Parts: sequence; C-alpha cells; structure tokens
Amino acid sequence: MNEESEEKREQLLEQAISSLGGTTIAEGPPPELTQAVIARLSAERNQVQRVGTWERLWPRLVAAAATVCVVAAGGWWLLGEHGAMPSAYAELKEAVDNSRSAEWMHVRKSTGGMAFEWWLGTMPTRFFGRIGDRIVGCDVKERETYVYNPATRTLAVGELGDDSEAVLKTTEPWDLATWYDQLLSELSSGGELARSVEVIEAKERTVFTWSGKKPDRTMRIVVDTEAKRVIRVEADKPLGLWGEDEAAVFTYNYPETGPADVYDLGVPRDARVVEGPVGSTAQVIGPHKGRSEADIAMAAALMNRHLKACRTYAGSHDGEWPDKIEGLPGWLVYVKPSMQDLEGDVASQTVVMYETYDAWDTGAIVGVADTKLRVVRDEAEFKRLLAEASSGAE
Amino acid sequence: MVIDWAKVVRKHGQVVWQTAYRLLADHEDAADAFQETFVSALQITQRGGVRDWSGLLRTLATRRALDQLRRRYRLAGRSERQADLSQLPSTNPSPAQRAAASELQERLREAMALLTPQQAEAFCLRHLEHMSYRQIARQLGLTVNSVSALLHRARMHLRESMREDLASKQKGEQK
Repeated sequence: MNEESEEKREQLLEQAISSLGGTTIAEGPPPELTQAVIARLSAERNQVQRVGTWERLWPRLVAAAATVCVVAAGGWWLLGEHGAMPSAYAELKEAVDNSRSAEWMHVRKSTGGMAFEWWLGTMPTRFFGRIGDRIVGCDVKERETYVYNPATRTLAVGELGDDSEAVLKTTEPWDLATWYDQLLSELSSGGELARSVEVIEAKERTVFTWSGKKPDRTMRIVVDTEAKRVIRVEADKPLGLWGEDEAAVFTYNYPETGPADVYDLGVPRDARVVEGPVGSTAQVIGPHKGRSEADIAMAAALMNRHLKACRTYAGSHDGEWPDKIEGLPGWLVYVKPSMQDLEGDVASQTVVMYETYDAWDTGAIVGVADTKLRVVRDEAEFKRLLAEASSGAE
Repeated sequence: MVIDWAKVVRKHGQVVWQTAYRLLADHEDAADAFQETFVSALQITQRGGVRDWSGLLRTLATRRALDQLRRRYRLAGRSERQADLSQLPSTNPSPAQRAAASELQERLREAMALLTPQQAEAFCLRHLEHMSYRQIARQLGLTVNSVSALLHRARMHLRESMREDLASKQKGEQK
C-alpha cells in the first residue's frame, strides 16, 4: 500500500461523501404517504391510550392539582396585603409571559449610556447580542459561547458552564421576567402599578406605570394591546446593572427569525477562532487591562445574577446571606455581610462583592448589600469601600 | 402533553423524507423508512418528552434507512458491480459523469451497510446531516469522545472499501 493509493482512497471517499451529501432531493414525501402515516400514528396512539389511561393519568392530575394550590397560595401570600391580585398585575404578567414565549425576541437599549441589542431565540434557546464593541452569543443546546473582540479580530468559542437554561433566561438585565420579579419584590415597600390606555404613534397601547417608593423608581411598560406583548420599557432608574442614575429605554420586537450565528451580526468570516474558557459569556470576561465597556457590562451581568441569588437565599434563611458562593470565577470576591450591614441605608454602602485586579485600569464593579451594582472609576474610592467591607465582615 | 402528530408529520416530513431518500435512492424503501421513523418516534414519546424534534427524527430516519440498506445488500449479496472511478463528478457533469457519480454514491451506500450500526449512524449524522459532535453524542447517548472514535473507525473502514474499488479498477486497467 503506497502513499499515492492511500491519498487516492481518501480522495475517493471525500468525493463520494460530497456527491451523496450534495444530492438535492427536491420532492417531499408523497401526500398519500403523509396521510397514511398520520392515520397510523393516530390509530396506534389511541390503542395505547385505551390501555390504562386513568392509571397513567391520575398521578399527573394529583400533581397538577397540588401545583395549582401551591401557586394560588403563593400568589395570595405575595399579594395578600394588597388585597386580591389586581387585574393590572395579572395583565402585565400575561404580557410578560406572551413576550417570553415568542420564537424570537429582539431587544434594543436605545437611549442612555452604552447601547446594546440582543436577540433571544427560544426554540432552541440561543442568545446573540451586540454589547458596545463586542459581539457575543450563547447556544444553550450546543453548550457553546461566543465572544468576538474586534480589537484582536478573534472569536473565542467556549463551553457554557453549569448555568442552567432557566437561570440564563431569567437573570439577564433585559429579561422581562426579571423586571416583573423586581417590581413584585418592591411591592412591600409601597410601590404601585397603574394601568392606562394611551394612543402612541396612532395605535392604542396598554401602559403599565410603576411608581416605586424604595427605591424611588418610575417605570412605564408599554404593551401592544392586540398582541398582548411588551414593546417598550422606559425606566428612570433601571435595574442595578446599568447604573443608578442612568435612565434607559428598551424596545422589544418579535421577528419571525433571528441570526443564525454570530457571523450574521457582523463577525468577519476570516476572524481567528480561538478556544474560549468554560463559563457563560459573562464569566469569560475577567478584569484585565484595557477591557471595554462591553466587558464591564458582561461582568456586571454575572455579578447581578449572583447578588440576586444571595437575596433569594437570604429570603429563606432569616435574612442571613450565604457563607460562601459556589462557582464564583476566580476574579470575583464575595464578602458575607453581617446582619447590621443589611439594615436600612447601610446596605447601600456595604460592599459584598468586588472584582480583583492586577493593575488598575478603567474601573471596577462592586456589588453592595442592597443588591445594586456600582462601577467605581477611582482606585482610592475602590480601596476605601473595600476596607470598609473587610472591617465590617470581621 | 398530547402531541399533534399530524402537525409533527407535516412539519418534519420533508426533512425525514430527504434523509431517508438520500440514503436509499429508492421510492419504496424510502417510504418504508419514512413510516418506520414516525412509528419509532411515537414509541419514544410514550417513554418521555422530546426537546429536539428535528434532531430526533433525522437520527431515526438515518437509523431506519440504514436498516433498509443492510437488508438490501444482504438480500442482493455483495454487489459485483464496480464503480468506474476514472470518471468522477465535476461541477458541470456530463451524462457519463453523472452516471459515475451515481456509481460512486452506490459504492458508499454499500460500504456504509457494512459498518457497525453505530459507526454508520454517527458517520451519516456527521457527513450527510451535518450535525455537530455534540448533537450526535446527545442523539446516540454517547460522549463526544466516543463519537469522535466512532467517526474515526468508520472513516478507516470506508477508506478500506475504497481500496477494494481502487484495486478492481487497477486490475481492469491492466486487462
């Protein structure tokens, strides 16, 4: 067996694969075949269903009934002090759920600070986005993440870490469920949701206006009355990630299709592909020198997620935060706050999470005990906050 | 959850048909594989939910079509035909070249029928269905490393089959 014939065989195999794989089969199945298959499936399914339908179904019915009771009790408990669930909340929840079940959602932060736009595909779940100068993506099904850095013309393809699909979908700052949950969590501080109908750009829209007391926040959520989907969110103080003083407008639409991959968002086809680390798109961003606003935003998204998890934990542990957080990347430090640190205005000054760094560059992000984030530009200020956090923890 | 099978068949029927027909190049065989694919899917859904219909149905269609291929070559015995390897498909094929390409495809089908079922499935899903390693691993219930090893072995065997063709061709040329 000489090298030439070896090469020839490989060539033949490639040609055979390419020939077979490239065969175009224009016709679909004959209609009568399709009908016959549908009829057969229907018959076989009925046959299976007749055998022990009740035996198979009753545990599910019991479980469903129990779930309904738990949800109803939870809703009553959550909103009890405000009377029965007001229709405005129910309507807004319906719009949020409708929006999140669309095959594709596109969101753009059109005003305030750094711009971003994001596509979320639900079948299967994948995200693509532009944050500042970065193009990022995440294919949950394939467990792959993509971060394109135009400065180095490199596309880092990494493996998605342990974040579950549900966590990824519900903790991003633009996610509607996050907004809604935030409003519910602020109910006990005296916030109110009002519903009105307005004509905006010659179309009738349902507008939900949130007036929060603590924090003092106003949000307008505009819903397409016909489609019952959120089309715009205006917030004078958005959720922590985008800064306390930065008003922002998010516009949502629901295209039929979205990008197939990050290349559709402008990653050059000849970009160098490098292996990325394990983690979500936010986790792969460390506090390295010269990072962009986009990197900071992604890092902030990750911190936001962890802080919310801590708050949830505290809710079921008499207000006490966890001793440590599993799965934090090496560049994030968590400082458990004392119970005194969580009281009143002190919470907004107590650092509970911060980034480490080798050399101070554009700034660092700190998370405080009221779960807000702050980008600290001045190193001296950063050190002061850190010193206070450390002394409080001792 | 009740599955609307009429909807599933109509939505995915085209891709199932294409997968089966590409491998079988025969209307009757493809129709059998088509039907068996959906019946297998029905049985799977009775054991649990399906997250990726397209991936599942393409895998099942490949599996059923490969079953048909194996039956076909078992019944016919090893084919005596040898492809005319001097004429390979080009971008603008003449009738003779098309015939040669068809022969080559048939040769690959026969060679795939001789692979182990798992090797053949992994090979088809990768090279004909263009699935990623991870998708194949998930569909076959294997690790990515196992898929990689299966593909390596499948390719090795198929190259060997091509050697037989090459040897036949060289003999033919000497005559």
